[in-house]
Amino acid sequence: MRILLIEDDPDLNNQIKNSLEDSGYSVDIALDGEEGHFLGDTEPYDAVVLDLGLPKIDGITVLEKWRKEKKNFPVLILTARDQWSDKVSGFDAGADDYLAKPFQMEELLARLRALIRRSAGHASSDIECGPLKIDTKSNKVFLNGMKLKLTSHEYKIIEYFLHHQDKVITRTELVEHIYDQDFDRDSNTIEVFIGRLRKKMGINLIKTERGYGYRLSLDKE
Amino acid sequence: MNSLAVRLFFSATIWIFFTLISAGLLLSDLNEKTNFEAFDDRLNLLLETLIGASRVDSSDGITVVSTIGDPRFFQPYSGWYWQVNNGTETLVRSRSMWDQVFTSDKRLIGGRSQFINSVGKDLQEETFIETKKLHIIERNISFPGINSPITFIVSGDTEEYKQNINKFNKLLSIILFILGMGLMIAVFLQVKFGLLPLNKIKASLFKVRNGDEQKLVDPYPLEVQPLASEINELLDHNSKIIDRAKTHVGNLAHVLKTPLAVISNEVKNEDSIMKNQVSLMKRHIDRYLKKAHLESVGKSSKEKVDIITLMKKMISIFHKLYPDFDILLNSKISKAYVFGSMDDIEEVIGNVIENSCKYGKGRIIIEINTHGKQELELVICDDGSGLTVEEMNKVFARGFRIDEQKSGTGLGLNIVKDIVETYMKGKVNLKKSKKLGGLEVNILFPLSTSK
Repeated sequence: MRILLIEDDPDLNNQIKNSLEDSGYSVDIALDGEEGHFLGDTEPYDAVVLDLGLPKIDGITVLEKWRKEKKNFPVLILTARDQWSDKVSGFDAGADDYLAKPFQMEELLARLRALIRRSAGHASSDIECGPLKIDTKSNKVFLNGMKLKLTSHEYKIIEYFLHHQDKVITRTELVEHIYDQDFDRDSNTIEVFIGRLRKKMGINLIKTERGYGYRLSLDKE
Repeated sequence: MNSLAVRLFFSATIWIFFTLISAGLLLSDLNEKTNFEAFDDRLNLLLETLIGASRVDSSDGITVVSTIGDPRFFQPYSGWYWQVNNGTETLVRSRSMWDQVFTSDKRLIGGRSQFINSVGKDLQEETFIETKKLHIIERNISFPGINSPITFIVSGDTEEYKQNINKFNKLLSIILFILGMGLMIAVFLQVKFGLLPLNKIKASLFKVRNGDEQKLVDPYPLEVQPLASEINELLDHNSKIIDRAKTHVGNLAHVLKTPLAVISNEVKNEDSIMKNQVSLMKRHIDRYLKKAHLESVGKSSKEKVDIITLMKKMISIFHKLYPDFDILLNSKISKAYVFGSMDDIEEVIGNVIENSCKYGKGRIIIEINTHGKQELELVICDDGSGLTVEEMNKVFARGFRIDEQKSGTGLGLNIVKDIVETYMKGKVNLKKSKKLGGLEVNILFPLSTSK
């Protein structure tokens, strides 16, 4: 899962980035509204954490611009202002959730998790696909109730597949959602990860769609 | 004299009084003169008639045969007399003089004009003769063959024109009195009417203080407009200062909350002193922000707010904030307007539903009803554990929180009550919900009548 974090305070930005990365997200950061808006416009994100008080372009304007451009990734707004009129204007601009500063990092993570899950149409924090089950709260993957030992990249890939079950996912899409901007991207490594995942799971849930990409499905090939 | 109205009224009254009395005196004097002149003319005419009617025969002394046709000259002591003298000798006189004679001096005695006999004795004691004020004119005419001139005297009773004057004066007084009263009423109305814009300013300022209006909007008369403009400038200036202060408070919150978030994230779990202090700082900041907000409640501009549309929007927001909650809206009406500030009403609805979400288990029912054309009822009930009667009494107090573990400043319901009851003239009641078993918040708003 790839997250865009826009927060002008470098320390808070750093803290959130670290926490998000610890939870298995790939994180791109921006320190002002202009850069943030540009990133959101050009890169495919699974969710955005957006501070409202930003230099250059304020958060509400950035959000309104995205929604006008039909960018519909879920957006969690962070703000110091917590009067209802502020919240309402945030939601009016197109926010999906709202967190008032100062917040507990755990709450931010929980809300972000729920946001990503909801935007993919899942109601509970556990997502299942046949014998495969993922607990998005603890970042653990179970196969027939047994915990699988996965590297962070493997986890990111299987989590993305589970969020988008029965959909064909191209390699590029996987690369874009697994790695952050600065990572040296090589789509060949994806094949390596897929191979390792298939091996660890033992069953072939990840199907190859020739010429297109991959698909997580219970269907027989 | 602290009242402008009294000042204007009294100065006008004094002026009216002075002018009317002067006019009265002048008119009365003029009238008296005119009357006197007319009377004098008439006597002159009578004198000439007398002279013209006299035939003087000097062959055996002087014989004058004179007469005036006027019957008053025949009526005894009528005051209308004529007499013809040759020196001091009375030749002939009118019948009305009866046994009296004009002497040569015709003096005033005791300030009154009256008959005096030849020896100068006052005839006042002869009570049957009325004391009259007479106007007497005389003319000396020389005739050929007679050495000394003949004196013709005619008198008239001044009572006749005096009566006219009195009548006129009485009428004049009445007219001037009525005129004065009318003028005073007119002045009174004029002062009231003239000072009306000042009352309007007072009423408008009251509305501004209540937050119903932002500034003095009515068109004012030329003389008052500068005052109204100055007041508007002052109001503008004040609201700018308040806005700036509010912005500063908001900015302060923003700049403090971000580092606070950083610190609280850095604090290790075992460092309990730091943790406590950080959470204390959070609490203080939130509390004073809410308090600042409470001060600003009711000051923002008011408009007609459609409660149903707003409620739907708020519920969709709560679906995002509390996705696990089942929030049901029951409303038979599709539009209901209340008059208030959008920010304030959002604050009311947001705080109440948020409370229900914090303390409820998962179900919230919201009902909107109208009672006649006067009131709108908003009922929000949850399935939480509710409140005891004692808690219900305490819950509106500032800073009271049912559950100290839950986040919040404890000012939520206090703000709700303040907004609804002080600024929107509504009512907030709490009771146990019959439908869901938790708390039921019942809010009554007056409906906006202008649709």
